[in-house]
Amino acid sequence: MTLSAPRHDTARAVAEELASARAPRPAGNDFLVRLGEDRVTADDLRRLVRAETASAAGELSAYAAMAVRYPHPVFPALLDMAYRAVPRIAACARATGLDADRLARPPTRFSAYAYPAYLSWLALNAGRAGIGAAIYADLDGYYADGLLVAEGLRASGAKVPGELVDYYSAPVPDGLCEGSLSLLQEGLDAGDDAADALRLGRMMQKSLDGFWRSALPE
Amino acid sequence: MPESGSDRASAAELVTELARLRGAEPLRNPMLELARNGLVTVHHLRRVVLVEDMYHRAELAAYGLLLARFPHSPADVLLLDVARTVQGARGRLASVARSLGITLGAATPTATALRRDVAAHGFCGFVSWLAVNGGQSAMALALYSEPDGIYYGGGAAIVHELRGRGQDVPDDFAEYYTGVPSEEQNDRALEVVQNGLDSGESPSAALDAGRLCDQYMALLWTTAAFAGKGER
Repeated sequence: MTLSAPRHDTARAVAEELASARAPRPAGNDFLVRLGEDRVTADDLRRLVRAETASAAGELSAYAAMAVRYPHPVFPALLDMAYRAVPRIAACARATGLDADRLARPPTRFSAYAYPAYLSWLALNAGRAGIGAAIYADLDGYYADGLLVAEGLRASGAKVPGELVDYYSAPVPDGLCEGSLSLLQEGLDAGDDAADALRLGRMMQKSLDGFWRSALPE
Repeated sequence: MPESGSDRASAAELVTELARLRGAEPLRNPMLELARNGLVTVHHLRRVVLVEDMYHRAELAAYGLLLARFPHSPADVLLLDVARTVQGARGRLASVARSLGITLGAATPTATALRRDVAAHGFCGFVSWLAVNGGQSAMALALYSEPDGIYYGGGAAIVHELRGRGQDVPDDFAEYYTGVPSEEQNDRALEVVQNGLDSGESPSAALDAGRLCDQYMALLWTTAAFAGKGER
């Protein structure tokens, strides 16, 4: 690295830029906006749970594919996170009245794939810095939105299953943000481009916005 | 198709059902709409080429993984064949780009903006998702291309509309986007779909993948249509 290197050439600086680039809440998240207006329906919740199911399945295979390309300890930890989410999402599915048949059939709306599709693309094409930045953006953005969703569901006038509130109340599992930043730093140290990593992190933020939007009526 | 209706469907029936869905619930082609209104400029044509270039790169990585997952006949032959088709198309697309006054891979403002655009990037994600998660029948049904489908049909309709209106379209752009799918490749894709179904894969999952592929492919025409003011 030269003295004139741009200041976002460290993982922490990329993370800070990602945080400041993120659209403000609730405005940037259509689901939160609708929840704030108390207009989220039982169908919206079922669509959200189906999108979560497809996402968890996509995460398991994408993290595994990433682990094959880059042996970094963050991937087993991410796999563990996704694996543990599966039965909790299944409990949400039962509580929202989704039958096993509908749940087994993945969502057919293409917007529900914004997140798992982008994650799969990262797994096959991105370098360590890009994957690290995108996963950091995912963990940082999704869990923060999850807490706001849990709060909104609790405050909502409609009867919302406790399983869903519990699911979204969970914080980021310990060490994962640090792990993704360590992967990002490892990539930068090996010569990955920081601006490109930032771009891939920004696209993750937009993909997540698409994920939340996919729960709402078209 | 009702969820239970496709449980025992054959590959050919899935292709028919997909074509029926395409007719019953047509997807918008904003680029064609723009062409019909006489509003297509060289900037839109450049966007088509730049987005397709992004698709090609993602496709090659995806087919590589699919070949690793399905290294047996008839899927292996199909995947190698499709990868070769894409590789050949890349060379022709590069010369189409030059005819439009751009270079593929150059960091122009438009190319950079498209690389940040989640809609322009959408199909790249889908084809990767399919490569990691899809079964043989799902991926092969998605690879089955109708001459009047979203990609081939959409491109040809745009070229015909532009040429019919007397608009200036470079010959190699017109030639590239009025190409037709290979019948041999389609026959092989059908074989692979059937092979997957015979091994117990779900026909409805394959059908869903085919329909999703249409929706993601349609984003080519959607993102190409939105050229900003002063775009270069």
